[in-house]
Amino acid sequence: MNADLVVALLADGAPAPALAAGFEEEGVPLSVRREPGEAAALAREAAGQAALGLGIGGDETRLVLVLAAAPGRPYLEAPATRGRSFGQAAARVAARRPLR
Amino acid sequence: MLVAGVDVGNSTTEIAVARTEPGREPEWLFVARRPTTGAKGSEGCAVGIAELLAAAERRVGERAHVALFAELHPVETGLVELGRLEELVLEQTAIARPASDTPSGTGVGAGTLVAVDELDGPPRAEPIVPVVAAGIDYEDAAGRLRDARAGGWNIIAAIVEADDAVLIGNRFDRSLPIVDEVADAASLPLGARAAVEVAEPGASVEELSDPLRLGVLLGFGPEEARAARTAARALAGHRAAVAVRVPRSAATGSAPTELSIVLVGSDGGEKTLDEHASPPPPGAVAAIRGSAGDRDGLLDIYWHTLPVPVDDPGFARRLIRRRAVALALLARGESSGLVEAIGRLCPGGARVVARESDAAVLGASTTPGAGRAPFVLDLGGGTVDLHRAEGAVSTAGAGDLVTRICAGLLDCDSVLAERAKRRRSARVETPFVLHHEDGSRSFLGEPAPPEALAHLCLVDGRGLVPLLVPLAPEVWRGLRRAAKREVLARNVRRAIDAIGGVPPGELVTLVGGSASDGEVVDVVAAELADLELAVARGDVLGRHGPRAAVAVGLVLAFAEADGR
Repeated sequence: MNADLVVALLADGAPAPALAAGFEEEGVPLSVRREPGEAAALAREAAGQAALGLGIGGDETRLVLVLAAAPGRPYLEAPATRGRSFGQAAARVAARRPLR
Repeated sequence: MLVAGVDVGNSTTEIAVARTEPGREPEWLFVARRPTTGAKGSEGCAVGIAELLAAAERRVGERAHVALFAELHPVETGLVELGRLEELVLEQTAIARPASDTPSGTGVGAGTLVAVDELDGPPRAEPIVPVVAAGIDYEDAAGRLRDARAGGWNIIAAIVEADDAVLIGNRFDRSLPIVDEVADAASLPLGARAAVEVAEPGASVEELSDPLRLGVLLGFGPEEARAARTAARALAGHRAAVAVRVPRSAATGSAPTELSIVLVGSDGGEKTLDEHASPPPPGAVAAIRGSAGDRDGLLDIYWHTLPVPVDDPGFARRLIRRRAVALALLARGESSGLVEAIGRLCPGGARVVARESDAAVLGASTTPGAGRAPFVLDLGGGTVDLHRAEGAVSTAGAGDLVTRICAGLLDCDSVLAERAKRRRSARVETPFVLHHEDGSRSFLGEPAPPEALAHLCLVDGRGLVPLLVPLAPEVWRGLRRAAKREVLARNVRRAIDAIGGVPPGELVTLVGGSASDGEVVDVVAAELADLELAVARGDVLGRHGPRAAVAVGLVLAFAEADGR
């Protein structure tokens, strides 16, 4: 089994299917796990678990991408209602493709 | 007397203010510049000049008594894209659309365009290309495609309006070519014949970019060969693409207009501009007609196609298809209105005191060590001027034309292109790694902003400015240098040829805004290497670099005349 390249830790109410669809459209694998907490804290924890050092945290209000190398502040963030486009943007960061 | 030498350039206006007394060296009090307001030589220039005069007055504590000018020749620069004009004509026969960089499947399929909604009906015999409109959810779309295929429809490719190709492909058929982000998918003519191609990652379409193959896929007859050729050219260099044959009933029917620029020689003869030919010597063309507009009273015309990267064939083909011609026109100017307008700003009025050549030679001669600079190359915004005692040769096309070419290559506005022309670039490879123009890498202490990620960026003191073209920094550097070489170095050569050459060993002093760009000095020196000249950069008054040579020279010319 592959290591978890990009990890998403999502609390209840986070838009898991939309986030996963965004990664799927970009062809980037995403490991999604359920965990209670606040988006930014979950993202920092996720970044520590991800082989690429990219962690996503989500709760019912927002989604956050954190770089393990610069965990102090979110690299990307979006409201929870924008799961699909946030997922695509985060996947593009992982694939090193330009954001749109 | 307090006088102001004023040099109005195509892009920059410069002023040099000094106190002159007969028999004494001028006392230099103020040298400054600002972007030119209005077209060179027009009364609009007075706004910028007035600001510079006011700034000088604040600094010196006194208004300049007289403003000194040289004669002015305005230059127009433009970029005419013959290929884009052709594509507008093409729309009457075929629609060609590049698609997004995340298509699904690979290969090519051609068939009849059918809306997904129509798939509920009885299947048709021929191959079809369903069109999925933006409002349809990807699960729903994939389900309908699966049902349609089970019901006997021959689905050979698909076009998706939203960014859903991979999601639909994964749920329907991973190998089927599906292109997405086709913005006008909803307005494609249903029932028409369409061809869809998706290349392997990193590759470009091969069949849709081949005019014969595309003609066969869309069922074009020999009389439509031109449409096939233009459509194929529009799709070359893209990973995913769509071409649709417009039904005859929908075609507007007007004959394709002839796209060309006609040169009218000073002898009255006419010929069509060949964008790949070398421009004639200054003075040979008197007027132009056609796609770039009609202009009379030309002193020079210069053109060049966009430089093309040999090491990026996909980008090269996309550039070539635009048939972009960067064009500079030097026209006879009329500056009396401006001189009058400026005359109202100074108590002693405005005067044309010297030919620009005399001023440039005088100003450049203030460079420490130059003695008297016999040949001065003014690399400005609009023209390259070669000045000497006998007068000047001006060639159309200089810094502004380089900016136009950069804007054309980068697909950006001229403000950004102006910065891109002068700055280094780097590609942001990861949030922490920069890839520089010489191939080296450096590490960033802070992550690059997300919008710069994976982009070619200008490295500006304040940060990274993303550009939109997918070019490697090495490739962009090559194109930027080529633009400078093809415009500035070539025009230097045309000017030198026009005066019958410069004797070996002579000193050639470079002045003007473009000469402040070290890369320009390099390409010009390389172009002149075979002439064995001493090429030096001016340093006007020993402290202004290659700037303000003419403005300073005008004051010197006035002082010389005054002293006599």
